[in-house]
Amino acid sequence: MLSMREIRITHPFFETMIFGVLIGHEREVEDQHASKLETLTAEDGGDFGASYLLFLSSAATEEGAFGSWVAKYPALGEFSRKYSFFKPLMLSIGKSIRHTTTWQKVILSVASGLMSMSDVATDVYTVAYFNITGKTEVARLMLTFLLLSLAMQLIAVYCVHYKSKRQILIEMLGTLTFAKPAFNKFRVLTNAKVCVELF
Amino acid sequence: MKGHELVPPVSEMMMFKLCEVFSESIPMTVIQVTNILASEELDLVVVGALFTSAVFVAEGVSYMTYMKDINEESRRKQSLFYGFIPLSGIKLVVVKWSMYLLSFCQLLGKSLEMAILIELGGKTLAIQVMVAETAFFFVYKLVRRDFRYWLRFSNVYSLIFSFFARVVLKIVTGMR
Repeated sequence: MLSMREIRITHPFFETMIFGVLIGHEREVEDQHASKLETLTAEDGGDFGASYLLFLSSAATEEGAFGSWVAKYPALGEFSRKYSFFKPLMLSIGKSIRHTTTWQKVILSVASGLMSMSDVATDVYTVAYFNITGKTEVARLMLTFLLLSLAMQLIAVYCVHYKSKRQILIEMLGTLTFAKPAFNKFRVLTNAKVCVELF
Repeated sequence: MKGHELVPPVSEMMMFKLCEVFSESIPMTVIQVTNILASEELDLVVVGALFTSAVFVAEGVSYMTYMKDINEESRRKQSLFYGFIPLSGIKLVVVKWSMYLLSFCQLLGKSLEMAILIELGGKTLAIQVMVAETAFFFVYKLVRRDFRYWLRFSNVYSLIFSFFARVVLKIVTGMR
């Protein structure tokens, strides 16, 4: 097994590729790259790095991004088969990149919150509409479901955060202002571990 | 996780979506479809509210399924069911949008079914059909010995929690 220093010399693309992934930007990359590992250049590495970032932004998981990336560039597949550390390394880097805080994630979270607020706002309008048009029974029923939803969410906040009173208050405030979906989405997008234990 | 939370962020988000979809979005959609069909005049904002609720349910439930499916543990432990979503490429986009569309249409279809039942036999008939569907689902679960939820509670609490969890999930998954 070669050391990292030796790999850097034997495979000049490796260093630029890692730099490309860590400090580069995602961009479309042409497919015309050498298919043989031995012939890859430092320039190819930069393109591979940018390409990996692009796959990370569109794939469901880093595993999926890695699979598509390696399938697109056969030379990287060869490299992965040759060096067993490569896949875990790229998956680990991919996971931390995917959960880094970015403006895109902030915007996505805010959009999620706005969607929830618009849902409630239109529901409130509908309640008022049915009330005005004389369908008070329907309006009351809809209001009951709105309040039931709020109550269930407040109970869920208590169950999840009961160990910290301060956090309960913050989360309850988020729930009452219908901003909680934004908090939740942001936490999911920036949390390193994706695990679904309860469901 | 900071340390005090009972569940990770993904589970917390799913809990909230489930609460919202079960107790607000689904009932609101059913009520709105029933009333819009019975109304002689249409208010555009009310129709918009109906579509917002349906879109919210479709997005919420599809996202829950998506997160559960791409989870490594789900794919490893329940490989018979999970793993149907491709992890990258155009197939991923197609499957995700198909899921949204399917959920959206299913919810509107089910709401229409409820509206027709209410029109035919009143609320009683609609409730009877829902209870019958749920009862059939429980019988199926009992026959398969799959009624009790896996969370560790004492016998009574386990049965109560299982009952509510199954009812909520039956309504949410059945409606979308």
